[in-house]
Amino acid sequence: MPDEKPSTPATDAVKALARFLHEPEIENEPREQIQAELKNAGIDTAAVMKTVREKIGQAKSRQRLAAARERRQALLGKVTRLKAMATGGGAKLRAQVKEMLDAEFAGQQEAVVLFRKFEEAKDEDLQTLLDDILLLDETGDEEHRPGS
Amino acid sequence: MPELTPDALAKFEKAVTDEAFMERLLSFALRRKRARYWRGIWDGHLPGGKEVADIVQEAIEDVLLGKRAWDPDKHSDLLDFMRSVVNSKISHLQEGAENRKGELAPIANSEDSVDHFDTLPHRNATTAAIQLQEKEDEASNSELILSFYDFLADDKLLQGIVGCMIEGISKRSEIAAALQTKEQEITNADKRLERRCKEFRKAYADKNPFKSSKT
Repeated sequence: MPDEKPSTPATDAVKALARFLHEPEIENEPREQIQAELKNAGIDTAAVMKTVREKIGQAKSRQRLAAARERRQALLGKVTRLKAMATGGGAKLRAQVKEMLDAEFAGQQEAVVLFRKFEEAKDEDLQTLLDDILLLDETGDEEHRPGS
Repeated sequence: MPELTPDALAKFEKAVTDEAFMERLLSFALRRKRARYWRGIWDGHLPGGKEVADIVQEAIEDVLLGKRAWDPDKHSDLLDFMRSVVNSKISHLQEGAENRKGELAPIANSEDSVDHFDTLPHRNATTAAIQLQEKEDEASNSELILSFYDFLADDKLLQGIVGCMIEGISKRSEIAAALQTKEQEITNADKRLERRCKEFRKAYADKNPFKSSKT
């Protein structure tokens, strides 16, 4: 048997009254009138704006993190290729490492120090130095994390 | 769904951090809530204690998290888009409050174990609880709307409008026809009726079962 909804004429009348009083919305209502309406209803626009700004700040942080993650993935790919080259060693590798450090860590003091080490390093130490680059990148990600 | 692109986020931020934009969105949510959720007529609150500000903030977060996809090229009028998000949230709340049969699992009691696949109304404790609540609401509404009708005895037009609603006539044009007046007269009366409704809520506060303790 179908589940019949009991008749509720009084509740229906109250619903009709609610719609009558509050619909339709008035377009182009003066701002002062809207502000007065919100004030009467106890709505604090400034508090809402504050929360909204916080939520936007969080969304921006998520975007920055996603960009950093993407950048790191790309860097990881480059370092993997360089590691493969490190087994052969040599000047070409050093030149590529400098190019990568310039592109990824421009202006970071640690990067300058790392490159100096690269120039002075023996071929067998190059792999350890590449691992240091990855560590430097991770430190950079930490610094960009929200709240850090 | 993906979150906003950096470009869309910048546009979104510029719009929603504008105070006039936010006031219009809040005002829309306030009116829509009042129109849809009848307990508000008697100073009642939205289910779950949700307020207009919560609904607007949730709508904004839905867009920021990509739950509601906003494409600035497709929906250049962001206020219009946000109104539709708010509207759907309020509709969802209203439907949830008035027709929870399908949303809630049956409540277990000591004599009956829960069978989540059994949706027959006679075995569904939630349905029984909702029907009981509806009955109680109807009794309270009946008392309040008739008291409001009497309260308006000094204004025949307003009393006539509420009388039409009690009779099941709710369209402005039909109310005007029933009261043998112009539709504009009916529209012009709404601010007066709202004022009287406010006075009624004050006068009948002690007899109003829907009145929230917050107000």
